[in-house]
Formats: sequence, structure tokens, C-alpha cells
Amino acid sequence: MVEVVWKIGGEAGYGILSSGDTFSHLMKDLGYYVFSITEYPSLIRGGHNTYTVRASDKPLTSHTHEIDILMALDELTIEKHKNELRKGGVIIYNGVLKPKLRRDIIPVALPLDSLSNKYGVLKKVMQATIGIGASARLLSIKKEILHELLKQRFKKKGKKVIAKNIEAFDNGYSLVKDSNFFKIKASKLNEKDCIMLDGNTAITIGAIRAGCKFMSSYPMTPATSIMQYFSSKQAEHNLIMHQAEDEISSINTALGASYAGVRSMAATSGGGFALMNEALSLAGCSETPIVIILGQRPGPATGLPTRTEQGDLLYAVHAGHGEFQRIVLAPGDASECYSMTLDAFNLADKYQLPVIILTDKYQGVSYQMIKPFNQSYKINRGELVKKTGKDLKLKEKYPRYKFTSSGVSPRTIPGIIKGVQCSIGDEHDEEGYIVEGAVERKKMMDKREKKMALVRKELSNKSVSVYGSKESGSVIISWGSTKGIILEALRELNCRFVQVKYLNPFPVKELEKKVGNYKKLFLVENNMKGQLGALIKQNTNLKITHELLKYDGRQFNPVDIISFVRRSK
Amino acid sequence: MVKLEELETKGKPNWCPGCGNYSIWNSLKQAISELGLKPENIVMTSGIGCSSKLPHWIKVNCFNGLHGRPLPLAMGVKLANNDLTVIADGGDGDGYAEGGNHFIHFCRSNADITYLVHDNQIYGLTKGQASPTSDEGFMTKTTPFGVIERAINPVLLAIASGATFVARGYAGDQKHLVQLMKAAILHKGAAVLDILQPCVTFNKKNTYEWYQKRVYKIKPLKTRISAMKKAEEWGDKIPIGVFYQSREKTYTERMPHMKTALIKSDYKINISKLLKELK
Repeated sequence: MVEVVWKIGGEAGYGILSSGDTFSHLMKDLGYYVFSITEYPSLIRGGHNTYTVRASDKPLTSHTHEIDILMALDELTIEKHKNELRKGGVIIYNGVLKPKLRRDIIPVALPLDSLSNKYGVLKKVMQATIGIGASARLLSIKKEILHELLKQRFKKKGKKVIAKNIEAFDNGYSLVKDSNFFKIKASKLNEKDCIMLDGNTAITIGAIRAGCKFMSSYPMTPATSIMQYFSSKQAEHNLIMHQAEDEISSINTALGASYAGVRSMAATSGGGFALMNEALSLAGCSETPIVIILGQRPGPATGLPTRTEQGDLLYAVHAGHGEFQRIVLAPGDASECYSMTLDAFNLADKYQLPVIILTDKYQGVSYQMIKPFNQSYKINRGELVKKTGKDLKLKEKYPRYKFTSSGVSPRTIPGIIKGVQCSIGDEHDEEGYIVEGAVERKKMMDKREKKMALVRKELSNKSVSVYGSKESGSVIISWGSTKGIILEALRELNCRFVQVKYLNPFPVKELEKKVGNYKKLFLVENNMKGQLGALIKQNTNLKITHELLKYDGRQFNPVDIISFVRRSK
Repeated sequence: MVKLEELETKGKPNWCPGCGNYSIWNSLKQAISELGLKPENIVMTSGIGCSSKLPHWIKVNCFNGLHGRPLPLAMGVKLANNDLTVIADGGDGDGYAEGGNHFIHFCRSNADITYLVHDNQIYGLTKGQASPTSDEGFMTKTTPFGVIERAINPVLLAIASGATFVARGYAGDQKHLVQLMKAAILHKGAAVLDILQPCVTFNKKNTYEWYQKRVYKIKPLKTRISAMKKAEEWGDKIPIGVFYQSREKTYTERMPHMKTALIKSDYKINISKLLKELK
């Protein structure tokens, strides 16, 4: 297996993101699989930012803890990351710095200042491009391939920008010698048609494919790019992205659009989701379909705004006052982000309830290469009646909340049918009138809860996925974005991995069945209290024997999982 | 013209006898009837409070949502289906306290929605606490020393925030109120109609007699500034009528890409181009 891990680091405003992006595309164009992650603090200039690109001739599902080439645009990057370099790794840095380095690291000091002074305010950004040039040479990548890529990437910015970048790149390229250690060939992989994207983009494309036409949100890291991508496709797909004044407005607006008959969603993070809670309860009571994307970041409160965590599972499962029905699901990679979003919209419509998609910063903004999505999908709007067939009598309203054997009442769209209907957040009768009676109340509560039996049935075969050794007595159990890391660790472990994908309603029987016989049951979660563990304890007979929990705002590395399993007695 | 009986519902209002809401309810039915709007093409959204129950008793579509949130609901309905007549409905507590933020942003959006506020300067359903429009010094159960804040001036705030139709009505003058409602519904853009509504049970100050002595009718003012100046008037004389109206592009008219209402979208969706961009 050929593998190269490249990392660039420096202050915000140094072009870290765009250089990382360029390098990711370079490796992809060469025919390699790519997995990229970014780490950055919550500010616009300064701070410490990194972009790590892992490339391999084998499919990748996670980042890793080691690097081969470190492109350091400042001293802090050297200090913070030099020990991540593998033996024989290379560090490219500004020659004016005199860092102390391990003997097994190859230093490449470049006269970055003198090469970039002429670029003025773009000095630092061009230093990054020089670094890409040097890195490409280290990897024995042909100059022309990168020239072509730069031309493509800067096409919209014009010839001058392209020429400037090629000049800087060539400067870096010519200063370094070919290295045998990292010889990389442009391989002809069969997966040339792979797409490279992050989880947020995958969710948004899923929403567009699912026929979601309306989104209302307020920007919040790490969910903002969902709004931005959806906005950028408004004309192409006849969508509206309404930027609301706050998250309370955002979810209520989405509910209004959904009530009027259009598939709708809202995306946010924990704090914004907190503001949405009352309306989440309204969606439950009024039986209005909606999809909410909850991109988790570490709380409490503002927490670590730009880092990652899985701290909102129990919150998503329990959020909102009163008892109502919901579905909570958690994709584990970009492919699932797409396919489970498709599913989320059909579920919301079929059962007329809120569906929460749990993702996080790691999954939301890490790039991965996957096979293009399967486009076949059938939009199922459930019991959406566009023609009632008969006129309503005087004083009669359409029975929006009709008691049925399934618990699902056919709903209508204003303006299309002959008749009118009332949706409501007060307890109500079949026609949506406010009621207070004990019998009526209980009957309507039972009607809504009835739907969950159907939901359970529909989800019973797809809530839990199993990977790895079927016979092993060691079972790792987890959910969401840790999937890729655990799969990577599984390559070196004789273990079974059980991924819980649908978390509410909790797949009790399916989980017990899929876990099967075990001696050790490892719980892996990116949070402090083991929230999936709590749901398992509450709902099943399974006994967690070992817990690996991480809540420092960073994702696990595969080695964390490997050593945890190996040292657990 | 829709017959008034076609707007009747099984349920009957349960407001206190003599409540200003009855006049608002009757006026709205009259306005809808006179405008010849089809009930199935009207959506009323409402919040929580005595006033917000109104849509239950007119046979039009309704979404009776949360306290303070009728405007976001209305916005969603309108953006999904531009062909609908959308009326948001609520009280002064609902709209100016709980939903204050939405109110400002609704005005600046100029979305083609009519917002009716039953303004009784008191919280009725929770039995008599101060509202954002309660006069300074007004004694209520939560303000034993009198209200110490200034009252919100909804007309002034609406004009300042960019609403393109701003009016004040009075529940005691139903004929005038019907005219205002019709004008507000016909207006293309954000229409705010603040309606002075005596609460006969909990507001013993701002009564029918109190208003009757003070209200007088005005004609629309020509500029925003002159309208705002007129809106400042509150006390011995209280102007009612349209303060300001101008035809400006609505929220959806300002969307260069909107050609087809979302509800009429073509659902033959192809994402090949999106995927190609990621190769």
C-alpha cells in the first residue's frame, strides 16, 4: 500500500484551506484515494490552522496520526506537529527559522521570504504555493500535472493569477531534489470516476435529490456549508434558501413551507438546535414533516465552535417538551450522509414527524473520496392528498387528524384541494379544533404514538450495520463519524464492529441480534458520558465491558482504537 | 364574492362578551367575502393568545402554531406557494414581545403577507399582565408600581423597519376596519395592521369609551418621515387609518432565480451535474 500524508499549517489568512484543497485535488488527479481534514480555531485571522491530506492507492475512511511531509508556514506549526512526522519524514519550512528537529527527519529549508516578498499582501499565500511546488517535487510528481490543475482551479480568477501561481509553484519545485523515498506514480486506478466531497455536501445533495425545495437556517459552524451549498444551487434546482433572523424563525419557517406542501429542512449545530426545541415539539404535535440536520460541535454553551464531538445524541433523542414522535439517524460517512438523507425525507413524509440527522464537524467538513451516488430514488410523500374528490359541506373542515388504523392521517395542501384544513400545536380533534377533554386528549396522543409501530417495522432491517469478523468475541459498538476510524482500525484487529445508524426509535432487538455472542463489548464514542452506552443500558440486555470516550474536541485516530482494544483485558 | 355563511365553522368563538375580537373576526370575514377570495387559497397562521384562536372560526386554512411565531410560519407558507393569500394573526404580546425579532425582520423582508395584530395593551389569556404596548404607568398584576418601560409604538417600528403598508385600525369602528383589512390584504408586500382592541375584562383603562374619545381618521402620508412623525402621536388624540403605503418589490420578486413557485416544482431531479463538479 502506497500512502502519503501531507500537512500544511499556519495562521488563518495564509491560504491554508485553499492550499490543502489544491493538494487534495492534485492527489486525486494522480489517481489516489484521498481523505482530508482541517483543524482551525474560531477566528478570521491568526491562530493556528492545519489542513491534512492523506493519499493512498487503497480506499481511505479516516485520517491518521502520522505525517510524511509537513509544510510549516510558521514556527508554531513546526513546534506543534514535528513529532507527528514519521521516521524519514520531511519538513519544509522558512529558512530564517532554525528549528530543533529529530535526526530522523529530513529538513528542507527554503528562502520563502525572498521568494515571496514581491507578492505583497499575498506573500504568505504564495509561500503556501511554493510549498506545494516543493512537496510535488519530493513526491516526484510531474510539473505539468500540477500546472494543469492550477489552470483549472484558478480559471475564473484569470490568466494573471494562474501565471503568478505557476511561477511560485515552479520556484518551490526547482529548489528541491527528487526524492526516492516518496516516489509516486500517476497510477491508473479503476476508481477514476470517484467523487471527492465532505459530509455536509453529501447531505445537501441528498436533500436536493430527495426533492427538498426549501431550507431556512441561520449560519452556525459546522453546519453553515449546508446553507451555502444549497444557496448556490437555487437557480439550477428551483430552490429557496431563506436565511432566517434566528433558529427559532428558521425551523418555524421550514414548518410553514412544509405545511404548504414543500419538502423542507433546517440545518444547525447544538446551540441553534436548542433554540429550535419548542418548534420541534410543534412539528411532533402538528404532525408536520421536517428534516433537521444537527451538525454537532463540542458544547456546553458555545464550547469549542470549530472542533468536533458527539455530545448531542441524548439531546437529539429527548429534545423538546412533552412526549412526541421523532426519528433520529446518524450517518457514518459521506455515502451514508447522502443515502440516509434520502431516507430521512421519505420517513418524515410517510410518518408526518420530525427527522433529525445527526452529524458532526469531523464528518461535515472532512473530504473523502467515494464512488458516485446511486441516483435511483423514489420520492414517497406518504399520505399527501392533492384531490379529496368531494367538496366540503358547509361548516366542515378537512379532517387533518383523522383517526386511522395506522395512526397516519392523510394530509392536504392549501390551495390545491377544494377544502380547508387546520394544523395546530394545541391538543386537537380530527378537524384541528382545540380540545381539552381527557378522553379526546388520550385518543389523539395514542393516534400519534401508533405511527411509531410502523416506523419500527420499517427500520428494523436497516438500523444497525455490522463489519469485520463474524466469529470474534470482541465487538466494538459506536455510531456516526467514528465509523471510518473504526473501520481503519479493524484492518489490524480481529474484531466485529457494530454501527448503530438509526438511534430513535432505538433498535433494541436488531442491535442485540447483530451484536450476537460476545466476550468483550467495547463502546467507542466521541463524548464524555457514553451516550450511546446509556441508550444501550436503558433499552437492551447488552453489557458494555470497556469504554473508550474522548471529549477533547478532536476525533479519534485509528491507533487509539487499536491500542484500546489490544490493551483491554 | 364568497358568501359569509361559507366562511362559518362548526366551532364558535369563546371570547368574553363584548371583546374587541368579535369585531375583528367579523371584519375579517367581511373583508374576505368582499374581496372574493376563495377560502382554500387563504392561509392564516397564528400564535398563542385570545386573538390567535381567530383562524379556527373562519373557514380558511390555518396553522395555529407557537407563541410569537406566526410570522415565520407565514413566511414559509408564502415562499412555498406564492399564489396563496397569507395572513398572520396574533396579539400584541405574541407579536411585539415573544415575536419581536420576527416582526422587525418580517417588515424588512417585504414579503407579501398581511399581519393583523389585535393590540389590547394587556395580556388577556394569562389574565392581566403588562404587554409591550401597555401605557407607561399602567397598573397590572405584574406591575404593581405601574409599567416602568416605555410602550412600543408598533406603527413607528413597522415603518422604521421597512414595512410597505402600515396602518392602525380600531375594533370599535368595524366599517373602517373592513376597509383597512381589504387594503392590507390587497397590498403587495409586508402589510402591518395594528388593531386597537379593547379587552373588556382585564384592561380597565383603554376601554371603548377611552378610545372613542381619542381616535380620528387620517389619510396616508406621502413620505416615510412624515408617516413616522404622525405615528408619534398618541395620547389625547390617536390617529387611525393608513399611515404609509408604497409599492416596492416583494421578497420573492427580489429573487432573480424564482421562476416557478416551489409547490409547482418539477420533481424529475437529476444530480449528475452536481456529482460531475465533485470529480
